[in-house]
Amino acid sequence: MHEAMRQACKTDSEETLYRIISLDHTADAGYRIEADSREELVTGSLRALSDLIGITRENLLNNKLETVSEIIKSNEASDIETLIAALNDWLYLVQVKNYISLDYIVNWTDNLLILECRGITIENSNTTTTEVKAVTYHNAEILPPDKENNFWRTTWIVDL
Amino acid sequence: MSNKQIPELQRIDKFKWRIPKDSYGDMRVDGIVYSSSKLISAVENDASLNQVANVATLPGIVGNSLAMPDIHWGYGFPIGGVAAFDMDHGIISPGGVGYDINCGVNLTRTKINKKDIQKVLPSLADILFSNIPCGLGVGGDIRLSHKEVRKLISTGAAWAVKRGYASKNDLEKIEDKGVLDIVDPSFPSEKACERGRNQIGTLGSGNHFLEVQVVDEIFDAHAAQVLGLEKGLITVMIHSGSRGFGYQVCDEQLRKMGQVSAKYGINLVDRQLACAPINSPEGKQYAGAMAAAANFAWVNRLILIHLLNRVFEQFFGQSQVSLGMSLVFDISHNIARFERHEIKGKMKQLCVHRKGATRSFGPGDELTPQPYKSIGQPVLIPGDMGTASYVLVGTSEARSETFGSACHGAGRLLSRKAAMKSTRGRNLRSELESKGIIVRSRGKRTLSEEAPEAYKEVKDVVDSAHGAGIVKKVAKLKPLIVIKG
Repeated sequence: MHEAMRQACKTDSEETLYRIISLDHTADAGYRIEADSREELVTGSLRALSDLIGITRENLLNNKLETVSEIIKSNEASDIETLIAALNDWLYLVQVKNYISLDYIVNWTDNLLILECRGITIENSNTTTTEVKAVTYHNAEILPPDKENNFWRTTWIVDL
Repeated sequence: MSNKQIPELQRIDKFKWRIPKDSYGDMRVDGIVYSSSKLISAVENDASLNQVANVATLPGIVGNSLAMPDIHWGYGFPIGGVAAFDMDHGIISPGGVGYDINCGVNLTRTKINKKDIQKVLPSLADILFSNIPCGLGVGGDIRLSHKEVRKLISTGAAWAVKRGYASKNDLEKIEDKGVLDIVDPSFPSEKACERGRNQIGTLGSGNHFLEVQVVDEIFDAHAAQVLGLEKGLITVMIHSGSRGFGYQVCDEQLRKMGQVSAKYGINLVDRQLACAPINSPEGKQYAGAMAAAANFAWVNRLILIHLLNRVFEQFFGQSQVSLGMSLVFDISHNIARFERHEIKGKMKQLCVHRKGATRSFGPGDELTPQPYKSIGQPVLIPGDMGTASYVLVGTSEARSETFGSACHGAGRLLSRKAAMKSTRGRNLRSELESKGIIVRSRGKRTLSEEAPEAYKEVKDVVDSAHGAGIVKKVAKLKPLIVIKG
């Protein structure tokens, strides 16, 4: 990624570098994430979803609850399927366990993605603002760096 | 973000367009889009028509890959897509049904006249908003054990009758009497049950709503009489689905089917169209799990009507019976069903997928519910919150043209992002109130995303479907109170 882009897309976590681009889709919402590594695509994707459903750093800071870890393991036939499965498992945690998180440790070796989420379990999910049914496979892809782009890219659409 | 190649589109008549099968990819059959020239221009340059063409590539497709006048870009199937598949050679696809399995609409009529309640509408809006669970993360008051969820998904609407949330008479006014055979109750996962368990009797968010309306115009006096609709009387429309239960079922089944499509030699042009042969173990498992979610959705909508009836009884100090509150009909939008249709002169069992489309069977049809045999199945078309909704009935032409299917709503025109942009700086709530429409919603964002201009003109959609002969107009309903999540 170019240095200018790095500066433009610095997030609240200094170590996390990615760029989130919101894409138009008639019924739902789409995203393109650009990052230096496959692991950062995961972090960036989770950040895009968090922004969409309304999880902010303030939500977490305002809830003086003990941080708990949740582990998501994903191992599907392709990288994009592995990513989508992990994102949907994360949505399940948000909607069923009222678990919200913004910090992650991502380990993606070969086909196995292990995602450790650091967050809190709140009493109800009123904190969030938008219901996401699922991340879909339609037009979804992960592209590694190539001659034209020296960074990883992923695109996916959510069903709202 | 749309696909680059746009399929060729040929005009057949005023309300019908063809995508020839030899003009795009590996289509096995033609695509047929029911639409006016005005409506078709809204989808010509996005991926909606590609999605019609993509569906036409699926094995065992019978007739044509169809799209209704409210077609818009979805994921996998287009929204407004209909496709039927041969039972022996065809497939069943979670992407042809969607995540919100059996999302649908019901309509309750009353004997309350608008002029008698005009002044109390704001108070009625407040009490409805307080008592109908809506919005993200708002659970219902009904807490079910896992065992009870399993019973509910096995018996569908009959569960609601047994628990006192609905009457036996209601069952006749629900498609399939509110139950699909789930074959094996162990199919839906524990995770699906857990995700839906505390969401029974909740509206949800996004485009789901409860709307108090007034019958504004009657187009077909006889059909309106059979439906119990009179000009000036109040009706209530509810739009909701299978909530988290359906989302989880679809997600899990799509993961599984993505792994098996290749095993059956199915070449997918879109991973979201993952599917399996209807009679394969995976196909049967999806059909069962989808049926469970459909049953969940029917119960959810019946409980919402139950809550509505209690609110009206409390507010007006009269019983549901004396208020004349009665279910007109409940219709499904996102579902796959096994139905018999005539193909080349022979009756054949088919698996008909309707994604953002409804049934539309005509008078006398074996699939038209008994109370409406003389007029055809009611087709309920919600419009945007600032305009109108319509009550239509199905036709025998729909049976032969579209496997007995029609449109399901106005259909989105603007993306949510574009809708947010177009409403920036405006007070939508006040704008709607100036038109006599009271809105209560949990989130300002939902209101902006669902702004009237985000949708196509519902009149255009209804007129196209009526013009194509796949429905008949009966009545127009105008919104008075809109409750959204």
